[in-house]
This record gives sequence, structure tokens and C-alpha cells, in this order.
Amino acid sequence: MPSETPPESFRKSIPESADDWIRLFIKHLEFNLADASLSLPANPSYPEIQETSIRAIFQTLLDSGTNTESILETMGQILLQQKPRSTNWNSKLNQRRFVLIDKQIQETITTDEIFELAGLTNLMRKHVDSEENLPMHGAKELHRKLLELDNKDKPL
Amino acid sequence: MSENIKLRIDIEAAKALIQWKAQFADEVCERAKELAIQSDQPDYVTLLHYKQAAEIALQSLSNTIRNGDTTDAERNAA
Repeated sequence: MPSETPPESFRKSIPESADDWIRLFIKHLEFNLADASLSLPANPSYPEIQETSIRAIFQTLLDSGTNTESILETMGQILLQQKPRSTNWNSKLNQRRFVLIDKQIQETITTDEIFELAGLTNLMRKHVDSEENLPMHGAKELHRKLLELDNKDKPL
Repeated sequence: MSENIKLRIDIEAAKALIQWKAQFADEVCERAKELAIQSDQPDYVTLLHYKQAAEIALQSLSNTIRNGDTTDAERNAA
């Protein structure tokens, strides 16, 4: 069996699970696009086709098990990352999030701001869940001491 | 073909094509994995594996299109 030498190519390879998932996703997306296209007029405009595509993509994401909140937050984060400002969590972003929450409560929030808020919430959640916010220092210290004890117990 | 003719595509035809593409892709991937496992890099699927797998999958797809089912190309060839 002939084979190619992979080491360098390994860096440009994709995981099998992702490949399988993407193929299944594309298949379902195409079926959803076909079904959604049935409702298009005889001579659809490009904006009508684009809207149909977005609806089919959204439906396929839901079918794949992604929930609405997660879609909204990811879209919001992508939009935030396209803006020329830092997306590392900081007090300025936190402040902006509170402003948007106030707007949401007062029902004056715009569609753009709904996405922005979802994106900020996603960034905040990732920051809170990140390792730097976990009480790792104590755990690491304990791990170090246990390793030391283990080494002392070993026969010379 | 006249530019004034606005073609319509039967939904059954559109969906059959989606199914064929998916079947072909799935079969190529599955067979390529089998080929990789037999190679000296069992955890790495290469373009060569895909090319070899695609030739077999093409026969299988051809049978599917002709017969309307997913007949295994190797079984037919035997």
C-alpha cells in the first residue's frame, strides 16, 4: 500500500470528528435549503435568496443541536471581533454590557445591540470560565507537595 | 439556450443530487479510513487514500443512480 509521509502535513489536518460533523451538516443544510426554496417566488431577487439561505442555515444549526442562545452569542462575538477594538474582557466591555442590559430592560435595545449584548455575554462567560479565574494556585501548590512526598517515599 | 427561459428544478431531482453527493462523500471517507488503517500511518488519511476510495465510491454511486439503491460496488463486481 503506497503511503505519503505526513509529519509536516499533520499541522494542516482536520480532526475526523469535525470532518464527519461538517459533512452531515452540509447535507442537512442542502436539504433545508431545497425545502426553504420551495416558498420562493418564480423570479426571486438576491436578497430573497439570501434570506432563505440564512433561514436554512439557522434551521440546520438548530437541527444540529445548537440552541438559539448559543447561535446568538456566537454571532454577537463574531460581530464584536470584527470591530477594531479589544475583545479581551475588561472593565470597559463590562460597563458596555451593563448599559445594554439597561436598554434591554427599558425595551429600547436595537437589533444590533441585541447581538452586541449576546456577544459580550459570551465573552464574559468565557472569561469567567477561563483557567486564570479558577482557584488553580492552591491546587497547583498541593499537587507540587504531593509530588515531593511521592519522591521522598521512593527507595534510593 | 435562450436567456429568457426560466428553468425550474424538480424538488425530487434537487434532493436526489444532495443525497448522491452525500453518499459519495460518506463512502469516500469510510473507504479512505479503511485504506489508512491498512497503511503505515493508520491515524492519517491522505489525498491518495481519498483518490483510491473515490474510484470505488464512483462505481457504487453509479449503481445507486442506475438502480435507485445503495448497492455495494465491490459486491456487484464480485
